[in-house]
Amino acid sequence: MTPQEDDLRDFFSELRAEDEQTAAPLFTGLPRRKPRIKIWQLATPLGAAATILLLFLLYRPSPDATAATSPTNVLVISLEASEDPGTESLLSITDPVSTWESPSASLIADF
Amino acid sequence: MQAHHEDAFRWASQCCRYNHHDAEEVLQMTYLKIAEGKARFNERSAFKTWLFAVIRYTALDYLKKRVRFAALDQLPVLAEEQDSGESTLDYRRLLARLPEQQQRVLLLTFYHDMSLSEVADVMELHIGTVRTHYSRGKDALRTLLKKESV
Repeated sequence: MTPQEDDLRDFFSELRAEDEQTAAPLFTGLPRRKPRIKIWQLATPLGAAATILLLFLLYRPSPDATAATSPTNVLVISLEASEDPGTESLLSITDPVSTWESPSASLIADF
Repeated sequence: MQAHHEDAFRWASQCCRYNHHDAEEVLQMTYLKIAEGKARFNERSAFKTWLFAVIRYTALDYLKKRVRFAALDQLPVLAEEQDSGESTLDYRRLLARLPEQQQRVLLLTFYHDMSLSEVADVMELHIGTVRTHYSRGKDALRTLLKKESV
């Protein structure tokens, strides 16, 4: 701005003085708004949930398999302890080689 | 932000042709844009220059929508509001007789003490264009002032 512009400077300072008669609204800080959830921010949790659901659907046990293992078809085998373990019988059976006869001995024609 | 609040309100008011209700609305919208990160200060210019540029295009958008949706019976009221203000020399009315770009350039230089390059940033105009508006605006305002004083 040059000294020749004093007339304009006066004009605008008068204008400013006039404007200052109107008070500006009080500054109350920047307004706060709830942050909006964007669709891409939901991608990770939604993706994880979809994967879990998919895995469950693919690898869930079939109804037939569950029927086969149902408690009604279970065969219960219980072992009872006895005084005689039964191993003696194996030792008592004596099958000497001298009396042994081969199963196909009858086929030999011994006339 | 608080340091520039008053100047920001004056500029918003000037962008809204001294309609203070509109100016408050525009200023709130500007602050909301800043708070939400829609308008970000990238430190390429002074903070005030950037803030004034945001206010200017927020006011432009706001006024466009307002004109589009304003009921016909509200228009004369707006016109009356613009003409309000009583003083021996009506500075606002006198300034309003200049073309809009010239008004803004003169307001930013003389009223808000900005350099021409800062004005170019706020107005998003080439510096050469700003110089033209500045020069023509000064001449036009002087002519009007002379007419008023006669």
